[in-house]
Amino acid sequence: MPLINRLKEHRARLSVNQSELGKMAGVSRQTISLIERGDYSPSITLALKLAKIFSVSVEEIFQYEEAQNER
Amino acid sequence: MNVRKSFIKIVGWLILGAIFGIAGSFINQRWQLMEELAQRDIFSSIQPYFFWIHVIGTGLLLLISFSCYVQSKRIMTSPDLEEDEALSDKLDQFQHRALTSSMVAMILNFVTFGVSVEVGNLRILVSVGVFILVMLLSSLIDLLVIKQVREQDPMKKGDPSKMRFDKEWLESCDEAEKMLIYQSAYRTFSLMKQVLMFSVVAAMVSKMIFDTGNVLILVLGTIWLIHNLSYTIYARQVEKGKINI
Repeated sequence: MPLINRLKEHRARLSVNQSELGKMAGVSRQTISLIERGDYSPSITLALKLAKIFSVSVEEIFQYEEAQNER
Repeated sequence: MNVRKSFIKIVGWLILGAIFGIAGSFINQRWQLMEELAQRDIFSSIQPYFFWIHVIGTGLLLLISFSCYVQSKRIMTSPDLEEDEALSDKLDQFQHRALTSSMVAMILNFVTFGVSVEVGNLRILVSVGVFILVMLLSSLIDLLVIKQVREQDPMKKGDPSKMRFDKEWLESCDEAEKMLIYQSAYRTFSLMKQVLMFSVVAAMVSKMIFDTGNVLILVLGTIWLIHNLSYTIYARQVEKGKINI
């Protein structure tokens, strides 16, 4: 997965658990868990929502890293 | 993709299939394996046991399903649930297991009941009773688990007793859940394409050996056709925006 994220760090900074963050972003706890594990890349809308919750830019949570074989 | 190479590959697969068919037929003629198998009439000899497979099989599956539901209920009442992510994962796992066991019980119920229904079966009334009981219990467990999921996630909508349940449930899922559903649905579609093709071949072989007739071939062929055509039609409709999923 070329998208790496720091969602867990930001969540810890805000002292909220996955369920609470899910409620804040309007998604389920499972979705937050999937994003944190890198098993799911969120839509632009959800990424922006999460950035707004943490008051940071999207790039501070999600970073695109080009895979070796994609070059 | 090189069309010529791919076509040669497909022809190769067909030739391989033909070789297997001819080899199987030769082995069968040489040692008369299938005739012997057909003469033994294995199906008739195991048919009386279907009643017990029906009762014990569905009973065990419902027991597993119910115990998973009880476990998930216990987790739901745990004060650590909100904080403990591993516990939440465990809860999902138990709910999933409860629904899966209940679904398998329902399918087994239909199949074994269908086999048991025959003239001369003295236990037919008991079979009918078991069938109804399994249907009721299985539906009850489904309702309880769905209610539990909805309690855990109030965003979820849908009543399993209504025909629109699948649609409402899907609409209430978030983007990641929808993606999971779509991915697993496509994998299921791909798997079923293979399963149905092999089932039709198996039905043809079964007709020749066990004299199972043409109905099986026609039914499986129709399901295969509906399965593949419906995918093509729905894909086109989604593309045109005629249906929204």
